[in-house]
Amino acid sequence: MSHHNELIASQRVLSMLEGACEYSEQILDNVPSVFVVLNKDNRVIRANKAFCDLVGCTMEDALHLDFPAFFTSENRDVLLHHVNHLRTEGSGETHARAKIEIGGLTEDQPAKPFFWRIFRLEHLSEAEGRVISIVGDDLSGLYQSELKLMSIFSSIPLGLMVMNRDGVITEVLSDYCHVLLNQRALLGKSLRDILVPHNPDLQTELSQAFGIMQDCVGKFITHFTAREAALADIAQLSIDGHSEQAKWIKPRFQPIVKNNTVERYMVILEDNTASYLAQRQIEKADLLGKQAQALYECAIRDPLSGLYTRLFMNDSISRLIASSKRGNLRELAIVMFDIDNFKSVNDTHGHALGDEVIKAFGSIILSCTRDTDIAVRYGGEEFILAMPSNDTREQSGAIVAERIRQKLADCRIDVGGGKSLHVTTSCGVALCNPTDTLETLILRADKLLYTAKHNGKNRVCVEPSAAE
Amino acid sequence: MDTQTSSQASSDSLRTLLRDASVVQASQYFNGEEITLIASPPDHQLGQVLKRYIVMVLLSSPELRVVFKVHFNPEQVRAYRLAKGCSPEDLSDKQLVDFMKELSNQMGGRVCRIFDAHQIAMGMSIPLCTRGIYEIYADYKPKTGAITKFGDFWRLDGSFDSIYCSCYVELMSKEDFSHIKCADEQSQEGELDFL
Repeated sequence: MSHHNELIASQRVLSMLEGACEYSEQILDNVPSVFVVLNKDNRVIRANKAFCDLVGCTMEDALHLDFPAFFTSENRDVLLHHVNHLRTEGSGETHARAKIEIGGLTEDQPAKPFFWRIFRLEHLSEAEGRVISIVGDDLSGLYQSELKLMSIFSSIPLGLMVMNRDGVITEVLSDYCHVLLNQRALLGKSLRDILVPHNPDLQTELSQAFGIMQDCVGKFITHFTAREAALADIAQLSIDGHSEQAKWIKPRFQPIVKNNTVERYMVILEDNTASYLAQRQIEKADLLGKQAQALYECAIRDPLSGLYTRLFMNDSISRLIASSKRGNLRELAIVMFDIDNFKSVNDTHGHALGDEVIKAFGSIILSCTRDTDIAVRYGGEEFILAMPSNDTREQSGAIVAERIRQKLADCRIDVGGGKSLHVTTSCGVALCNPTDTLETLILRADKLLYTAKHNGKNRVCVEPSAAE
Repeated sequence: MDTQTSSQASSDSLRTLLRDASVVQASQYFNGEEITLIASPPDHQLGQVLKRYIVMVLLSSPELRVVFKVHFNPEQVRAYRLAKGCSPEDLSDKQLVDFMKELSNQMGGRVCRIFDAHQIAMGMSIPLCTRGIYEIYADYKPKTGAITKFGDFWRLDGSFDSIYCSCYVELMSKEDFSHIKCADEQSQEGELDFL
């Protein structure tokens, strides 16, 4: 009875082993990688489903297929080289790896790139010889992604390349690098040696930047981060073209890190020529604008008195008259001043002192007026003051004119030798009415000025209606 | 007859016995169909991977030990059984393997009965199935001396396409088996011992 039980137990163990063996074989059958075992003649003695799908056969038909026949002659030679090398006794090699395309023997069967891992099995069969197992992974998807990525790299207007610790370009990832740096061949060249001749004024900064990067290789990334700011000194570089204008590029250096340690650098070159030129145009336009403003200021501002000139007066006072006519102003007074006996001042004390008198009078006018008032040097010693007002609390033109007259009368101008000069002014004040133009208003103010002069000078003569 | 001549005669006789037994039993298993034995299959040699699957049984007695294998492709068996009206639902890979296990079981059983007729009690293992690739680990190297060992393989052709049979036999005694023939089969009675 015991013997019978032992038999049953043994049979069950055998069945379990058989099942385990079959399960592991099914795993091999279904792995997504191509798996084949080849005999000494390179014929298939075991294949999985991925292989059968690849070559279009059943698992039965796969047996004894000539594996190298699925490769073109050139690729077949590479495959056989690896396989035969592994089979060579004493080669010491137990496995090999290779990227070899399979298929492509007919037009409707395009070649597919595969990554093959080839292993030598230690068991030597008398009938099948030294057996080789091969595992292959389809790289088509990877290649397509790589091609897509490369086409993106090639089309973006950025120069992308990889630089080693010595600043030597080891990979060129985008064709635009050649365009930006005006170089047909970049691999193996020193980036610093390319950039320095085009930017002699930045030689120190470039040397310092490349020195920092070289120093940071092999060290923790934090080492680079701490010194990264120094690289900003080479924010704008120029590259002279052979037949065209210079390009302006902005370089960026991105460390390639492995295990937190800087290994190499990704160099990103951005073409800044357009924005650089646009910036220069803007600066030029700014300068022209400032020059034009200065010229305009010269044209409208009298340098001696600091008051406006007649050029400015015509437009500005005309606008005030138009505003007054529309009822926007309560009052618009035009005051016309003339310095009394100015000719005798010039004749007696010279034009320099005459200029001092003009200057002093200009200062008095400015000190007595608001920003909204327009004070103009109308002629040699003639001045016009336009005074708009909206508020009844604001002082009228007559009062301001009187204050100015009084201030000038009180002013003493030093003529040297302990002596001073006493100067007075006469003025006429006209008020704008709805029928007035600039000419009629000035004409009336001038007539009132004449009246003030005629009545003994150093006085203000106000238009009668305004006086009321 | 000296020992070496006797051993050679035993080997030759056993070789013939195993081949004949496989033909007779296969014919019976495949509904009495005519089976053609290809004694020396061209383009192949003993020890090669012949088909996708192997089923094997071990026949054992104190005098001799026989490892008997049937090499087959499941798709061929499936096609045969479909042609014989079997439902596709009953033709899973496992069922096809079981079908071929039964064939090897019957072939081994026939050999056991032949030896039984000569009062040599042989035990037989349960049939086991592996993939054909494992044939590379089989050891068919012939031996002479205290233990005589020889290997053999042949092909059986029929409406099921073709299957291969292979075996290796180890003779542990100097007993002469040359008189044992396939036709000596004892009627199938009683139970077989499975090892």
